[in-house]
Amino acid sequence: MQAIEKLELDRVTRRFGQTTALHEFSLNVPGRAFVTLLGPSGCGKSTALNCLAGLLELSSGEIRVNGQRVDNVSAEKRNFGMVFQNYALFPHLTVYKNVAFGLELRRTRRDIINRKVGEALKLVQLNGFETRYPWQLSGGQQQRLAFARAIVLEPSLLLLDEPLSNLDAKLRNELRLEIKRLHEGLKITTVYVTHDQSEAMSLSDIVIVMQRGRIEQAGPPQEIYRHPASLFVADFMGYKNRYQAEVTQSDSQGVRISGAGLDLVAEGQFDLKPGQKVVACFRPDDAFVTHNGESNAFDARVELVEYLGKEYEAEATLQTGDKVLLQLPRQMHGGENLRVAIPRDRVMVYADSGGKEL
Amino acid sequence: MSVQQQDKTTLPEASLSRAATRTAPFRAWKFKPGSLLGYLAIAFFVTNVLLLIATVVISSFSQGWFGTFLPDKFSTRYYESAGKEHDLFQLITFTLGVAFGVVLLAMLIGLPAAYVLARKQFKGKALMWGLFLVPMMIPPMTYGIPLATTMYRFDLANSVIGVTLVNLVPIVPFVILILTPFIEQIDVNLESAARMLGASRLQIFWRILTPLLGPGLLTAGILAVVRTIASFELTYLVSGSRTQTLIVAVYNDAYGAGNRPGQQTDAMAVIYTATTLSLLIIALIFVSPTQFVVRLKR
Amino acid sequence: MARAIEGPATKSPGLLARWGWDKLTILLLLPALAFMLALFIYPLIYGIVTSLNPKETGTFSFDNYLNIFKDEREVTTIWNTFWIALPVTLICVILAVPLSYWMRQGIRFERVITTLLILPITLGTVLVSQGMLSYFGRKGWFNQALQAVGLVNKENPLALVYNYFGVELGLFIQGFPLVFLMVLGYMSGINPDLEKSARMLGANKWQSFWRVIFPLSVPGIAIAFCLSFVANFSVFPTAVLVGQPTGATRVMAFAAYQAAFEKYDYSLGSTIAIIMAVIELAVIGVVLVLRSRTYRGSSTGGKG
Repeated sequence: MQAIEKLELDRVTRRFGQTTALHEFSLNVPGRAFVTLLGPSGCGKSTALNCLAGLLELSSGEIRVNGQRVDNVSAEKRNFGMVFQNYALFPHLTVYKNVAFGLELRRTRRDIINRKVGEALKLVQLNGFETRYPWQLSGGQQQRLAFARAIVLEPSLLLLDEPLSNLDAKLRNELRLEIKRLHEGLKITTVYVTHDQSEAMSLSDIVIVMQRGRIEQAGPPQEIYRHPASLFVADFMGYKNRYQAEVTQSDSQGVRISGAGLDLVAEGQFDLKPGQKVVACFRPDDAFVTHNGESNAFDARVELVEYLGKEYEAEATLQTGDKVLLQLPRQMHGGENLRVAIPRDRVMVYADSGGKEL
Repeated sequence: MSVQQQDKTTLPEASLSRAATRTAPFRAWKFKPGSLLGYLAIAFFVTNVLLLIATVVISSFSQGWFGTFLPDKFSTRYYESAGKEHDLFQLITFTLGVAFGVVLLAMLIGLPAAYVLARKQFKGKALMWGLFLVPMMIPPMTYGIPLATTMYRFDLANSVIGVTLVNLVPIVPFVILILTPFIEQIDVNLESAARMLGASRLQIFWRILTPLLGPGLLTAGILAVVRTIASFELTYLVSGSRTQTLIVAVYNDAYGAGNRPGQQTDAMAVIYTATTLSLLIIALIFVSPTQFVVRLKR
Repeated sequence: MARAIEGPATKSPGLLARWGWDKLTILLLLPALAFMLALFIYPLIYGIVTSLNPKETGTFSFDNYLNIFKDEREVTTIWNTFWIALPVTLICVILAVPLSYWMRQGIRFERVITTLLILPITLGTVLVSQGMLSYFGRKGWFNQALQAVGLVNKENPLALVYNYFGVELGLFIQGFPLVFLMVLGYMSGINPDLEKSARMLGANKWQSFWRVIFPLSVPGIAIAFCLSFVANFSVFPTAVLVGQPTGATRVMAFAAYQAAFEKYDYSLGSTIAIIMAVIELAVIGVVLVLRSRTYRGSSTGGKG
């Protein structure tokens, strides 16, 4: 199948009755990229995927592959591969027959089917399981079977709808690597949907963070992680320490904010004026213990400590009584007083719109 | 948003050239052709059935109906004559008495069994299920005829007891079949929790199972009553002149000896239908129709 | 640090306990068990024994069975019953499958429609039969309507009752709703993602029905067929009221009744009833064998 050089979603909108699940969703996906739609339940990511697949009709907008419209083509003719959250394996067919299903529909010659099915199963390490039935396979094996069934048809686009959410943590990590390996090997343009940000980070070339049918931020994983564009994205990506504050100084280098007893400087270009109400946040793992007179330092009293193996996470209190979460490589003890600092480029500041973003 | 995005990726987020965008018509009333046919077929079926029932009702109120659209004259004389030929009061009370008696006994016998089948694993469970399912797999005549002869032998035929016992045979399995899934639906942990809090078996039954089973018991009860009233073969085999149920009386009027006007039989049929319908309507006040219907189709 | 639980060693459990039969289980099952044994198993066995003790000889013999198969009228009756039951059951199932497929995504006004559909069953065989005589009769509304549209002329109305067709129609009216609801219920339980999956793999509507939905519906269809066939084969009042009980639609149930209660030959009556049961069980057996040959695997239509 002809590979995709460019996949465009042009102001795709999908309404269900009164609700708009997807609002003027626009996206350019370069060929062979791995794109993830990331967001909480109800953000529209699955809707977007289903619209791409052709399983849902668009209320307005267009979808184009290599410049040609595909949104007026029915799902069965688009030749996009899809893996469903609960795999949707045909329970009445063997592993072999499941994978061969699409090929048989296209009346491929039996010897070619045999070869292709064999290759696909080998790729997902299910060779030898041809005569088993899906219910005889483990969760991880079922997921791999679903994969094999989708890729055996050499689709131009691969759509994955939260394929790992039904697995336990250990399997999820293993199969995540499998997916990465397959993508590296096959280089099929892939659109992946998940609510798990670690999956999004590890697998994607580009991450699209979504909320309520709209794109909040789009960019490479590093950018989303280190420079969330809005409070919502910051919150979603784990910037758990959030404080209401006010801007005290502002210039071309950054801003200085004051809130919750903290006096912090944030580097960057902001469109904020002194006196403006903001929300400042930072990651627990960006905090470090300081003894020198560094800026962006504050005192905190440790209350509860959790041992996470590689690090310790603690809930501590600031002088004002606000809580702060700290993640440090060293052990902490309840009652311990620490002096902690945050690097200037790791403080995020957003205009306070009254909590509407979250 | 007040944080500026760092250098743009290869991914412009929005605005492509404004090519003409086709707007998919959003059909609020999605009717696929296949399902439209389906609705039509169902409508045709239901209409005919309703008209069929209407015919009986109209005919029973007519004084003679000869191939015209509606009868020329209406009267209630055939109801009167039906009333004269049958002791309607006795007939209806007998029918209802048997129906409710059967259901009550079936619940007493069947509920414990349903509980065991729903909750416990034991050797021979499959056999037990088989035993309760077999009456549904073989014709009522097969056990009905010997059962009837046994009733006659013990001089129980032609009596309330005989008719009740005979109807119990298919109803006990029916009740068990309906109640078992209802019991399975009740979380086993509720009973365990009650035990941990000190409740005895009997207390668990009264305070936990019965209230939660309420809808299930009502559903099973109503379906069983309707089924018993409509049950023909078994009652027919053991009934006598004063131990008929309504449905047997109608059959006898239609097919039995004697020359009665068809309208009178229709009148009897209407009385029978009215009885069943009134019960159903009363039942619908207590139980939601879906529960009811979902169970009936099993 | 936990100590092993001390105490006297428990006796090895008795046979009943190993089987899972504790006191409570036995107590709860006893009424139902006793009831079924007394009022179902016992009459059944009694019936079998009686059938083997024909009225004439009074001793153990297979005469009843042999005589029936030699008696042309009785053999005809068996065929009659079979040819009444099988076609209408097949028609019910064959109509129910596409109808269920179209409606599988749910019916609007589901409750109302389902209640209306089961109306004929709740109202009973006798009412439906009576109604049919008037409605489908030579001068009834149905023929009137056909005449008004011009499909039928006045002198030759359709003979829809007092014949084979009447019985088929009556059984259809009473049987179809249940078959439809059962098949619909079963089909609705099939995971909708399976169809989506088939579509993504390139299947059109027909292919996704034939290769995915239909095979997965086979268990439900088989059960619906069996239950429907059993009910139709046991037909009695309908065959009498709307058919020709002494002629073309003389059914086995009727024959059994006649033998037992008109000719007072209980033995013969039981024989006919038992042959009925055997035929029904045989048909069920065939259906179940066919089903297991065409469909292997889990019966849940969902995640494999």
